[in-house]
Amino acid sequence: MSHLSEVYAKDLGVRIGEPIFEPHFYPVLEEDYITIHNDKKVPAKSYDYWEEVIIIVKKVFPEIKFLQIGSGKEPKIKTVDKFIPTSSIKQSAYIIKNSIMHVGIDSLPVHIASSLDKPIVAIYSHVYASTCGPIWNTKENYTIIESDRGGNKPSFSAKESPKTINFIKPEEIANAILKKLGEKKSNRETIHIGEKYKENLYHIIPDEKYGFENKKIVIRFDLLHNEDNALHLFQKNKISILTKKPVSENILSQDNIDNISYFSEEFDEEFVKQCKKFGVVLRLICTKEENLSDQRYKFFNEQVTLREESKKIENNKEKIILPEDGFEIKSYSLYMKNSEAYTSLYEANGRDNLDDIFVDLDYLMIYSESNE
Amino acid sequence: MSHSKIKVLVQSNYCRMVTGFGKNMKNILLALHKDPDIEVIEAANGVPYGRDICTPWESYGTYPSDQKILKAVEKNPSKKRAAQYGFYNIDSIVEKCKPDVFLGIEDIWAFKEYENKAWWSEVKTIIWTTLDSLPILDHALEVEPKCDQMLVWASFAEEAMKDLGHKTVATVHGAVDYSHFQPLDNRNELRNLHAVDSDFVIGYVFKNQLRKSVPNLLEGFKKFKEKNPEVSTKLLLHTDWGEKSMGWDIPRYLKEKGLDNGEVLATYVCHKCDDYFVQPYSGEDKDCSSCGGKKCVKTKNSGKGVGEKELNEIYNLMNVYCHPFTSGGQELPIQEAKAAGLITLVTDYSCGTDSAYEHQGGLPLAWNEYREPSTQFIKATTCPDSICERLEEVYNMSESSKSKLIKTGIEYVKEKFSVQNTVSQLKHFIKNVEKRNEKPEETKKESEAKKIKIEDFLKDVPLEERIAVVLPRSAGDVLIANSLMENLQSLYPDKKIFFVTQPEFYDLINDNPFVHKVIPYSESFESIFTLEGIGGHKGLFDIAFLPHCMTQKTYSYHHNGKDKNQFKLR
Repeated sequence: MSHLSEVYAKDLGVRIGEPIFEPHFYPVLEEDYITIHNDKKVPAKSYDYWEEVIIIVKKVFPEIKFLQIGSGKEPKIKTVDKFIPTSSIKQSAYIIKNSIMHVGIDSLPVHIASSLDKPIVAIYSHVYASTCGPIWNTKENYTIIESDRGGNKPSFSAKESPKTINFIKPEEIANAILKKLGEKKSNRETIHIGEKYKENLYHIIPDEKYGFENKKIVIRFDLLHNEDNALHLFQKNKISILTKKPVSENILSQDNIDNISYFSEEFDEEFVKQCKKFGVVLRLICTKEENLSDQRYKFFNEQVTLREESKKIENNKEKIILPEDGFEIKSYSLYMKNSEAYTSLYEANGRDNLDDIFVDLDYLMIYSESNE
Repeated sequence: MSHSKIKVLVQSNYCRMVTGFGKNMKNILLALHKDPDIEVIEAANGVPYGRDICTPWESYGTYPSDQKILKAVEKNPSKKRAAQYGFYNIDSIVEKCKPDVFLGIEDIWAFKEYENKAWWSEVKTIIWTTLDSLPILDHALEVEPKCDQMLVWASFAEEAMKDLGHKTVATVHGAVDYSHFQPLDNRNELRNLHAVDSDFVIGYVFKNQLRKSVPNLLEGFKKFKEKNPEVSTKLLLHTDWGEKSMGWDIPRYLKEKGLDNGEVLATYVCHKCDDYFVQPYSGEDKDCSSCGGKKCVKTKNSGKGVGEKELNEIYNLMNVYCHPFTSGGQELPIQEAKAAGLITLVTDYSCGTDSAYEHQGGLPLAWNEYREPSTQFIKATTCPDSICERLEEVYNMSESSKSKLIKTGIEYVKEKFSVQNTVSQLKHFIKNVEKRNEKPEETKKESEAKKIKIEDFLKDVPLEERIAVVLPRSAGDVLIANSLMENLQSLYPDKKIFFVTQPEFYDLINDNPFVHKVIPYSESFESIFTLEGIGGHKGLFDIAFLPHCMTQKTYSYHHNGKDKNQFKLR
């Protein structure tokens, strides 16, 4: 095994010992807590679904606290009990020292927890875990979870797209934590998490006048082209528009339009000119592959991309199999329709058409929970 | 019967950039894309690698998107410039699309060390470059024999190269899509719209750079006004008036020359609605009278200009076009102005010799030679008296002579500078270029690493007792190295350990009593010869370990996580 510590030890010609490192006192009132650490400094390491991990663990152990540690620059995990930013790693080390377990990404806190012989659940992906995992505590005391990376070798890259660390399902991590706490695994099974699952958008299908302020709104003229019900939204929100046909000057002249995505097989030249005139960012999305090159040629000064909905649905159907005995859907986005808020287009359309799931798949988490 | 197309990889400014190279790229790619014998692929300088730039053809950005490369080039201006010219990504683009022909269109220094690239001898290579001054740049003379065909934008450069023995160099002018530029029937209407009420509007369309001879033009304009007070005249400068760090502070020069602000016009563009206005300069960030936008109206700049239709309207506001400059690669506005029906007054040096004479629809501006202090190149300073004389000549010219000269200019541009002409010449070179036999010469070795002074940290310990452990980053690695220090000290009981790392990691090592001193890391610690000595240099340490070389510099230790040790390390 080519662990970093062995490479360094061989270079220096010595055996590996123990680090000499003194944690500094930091007051923490909680008892029975787990420290958790995530960081975006190396984006490929950062895991996006810690919130779900905590929700699953807390379902079994609601009394256990999760304390997030770090310098304060890390993005906050929304479901932690407390985020304790410290001014030095020695203070974070003190918090780890008094925890019942440390959970986190490949980073210094894992090594500190290892040197303090704390139970550890750590996740790895962009490098081999065997080259940089915990080394000082007993093997029984740590659990390493390594992404399957979709069958690929590590990227060794600070940035990945898609992020392979996110291939680790939240229940895998939660189950490792539960096992260390002496409990059997949870009944959760994640079927799919979309890459944009955490995007917080409000999709408005303008069948009536919905009242929102200071939100990222997506007006879905592609689903219902009613401009009268949308006009009031422009004053206090950031607006994106999806449309299949030109929108009126009345809409184009509104403030706060972030962009318009215009879906068509062939684009209306006048509308494209109008958008220019009003200084609107326009995304031209060609819905027919045969037309793409011609449309790109014709609208050379615009960025024309391709999206064929039927192909998208077919492709997405190959990605996941929905269980026949039921599934749950979560999303950070909302759909407004018939005066109600729904978590997905599928829900908004009355759970009638499974294709709605596959259109929206990038924004959804789909999972099942057995009754055991 | 099917036939295989010639795959041509064209590297230049991204085709949507509003630069001379960008416009040229757009024009030739749009034309080559329609050729049934050619498959064109764009390597777009200025766009990050991996970004989908949605072109009708296959395309790749050449700017690094890898953070490691970006970090590495950030502090080194020459590497940064190489990155901007696509040096670090062109290899993988070539590997991916396996072109038959590489066509590079940039300033000559963009192709520095391309001749040493592995693919250079495999692919037919055409360099189409701008050379604007005498004597010809040494680098161009070095590159010419190493590429399979060198093309230049101006015949002046072709002649100079041929005089130096580079006989196969040919001129292909940058492609001007003159279809947008033509005389308009509604000139008077346009003038009324912009409230331009003069009889004689002199125009200059340019990027505000010091090589554009703005003070000379202002002086020539002033002289013309003084000599012809009865003429109602204005000067229209279509440029970035706000650019003062890299260009001319035009308002200051107007004041210096005693010219009235109202006599010199600027073009303003609304960044919101794209509308444009021609009016006397009155500052930047103005409100838009067309769309009502606040502080969104600025004089045109390289980030935001007017469209070609609007630019043609601007040319049509003018009566004569005057382009004084020190030197230039092609100066597209001269050809645009000719196509728009203007007599062009051009300095007859550098690429100006392709546009300045009567058979080209122009009149030459006289100039004096000076040497550019930093480069020693010959540059032209255009004579204000000559500007004044030529303006008078055009003003007093009979309508029939004017028409004749204008017609000559329009036909000349159509024949020599049109996209069709340029593309047809390019196609000839693409289809007929052959590999040269000569092998590229060996490159020079890189210069010696910088030496540093770190003795101040070491004074208290004799050299023969010093051990260095250099580990610049990161936190986990430093903690791991911490666990080796006790054993290292016991292996060398008579020596003292100096641990070299970045200050942000001191907390992870400074509790260790076996470390004598922690020293801040700098790049000088990367040379083993600096640290341990070489030849007459005794070095700074008796032993220096650089364990990060395998883990952070070359990543050579992973072995898929499968390698073994025959001895115990724990």
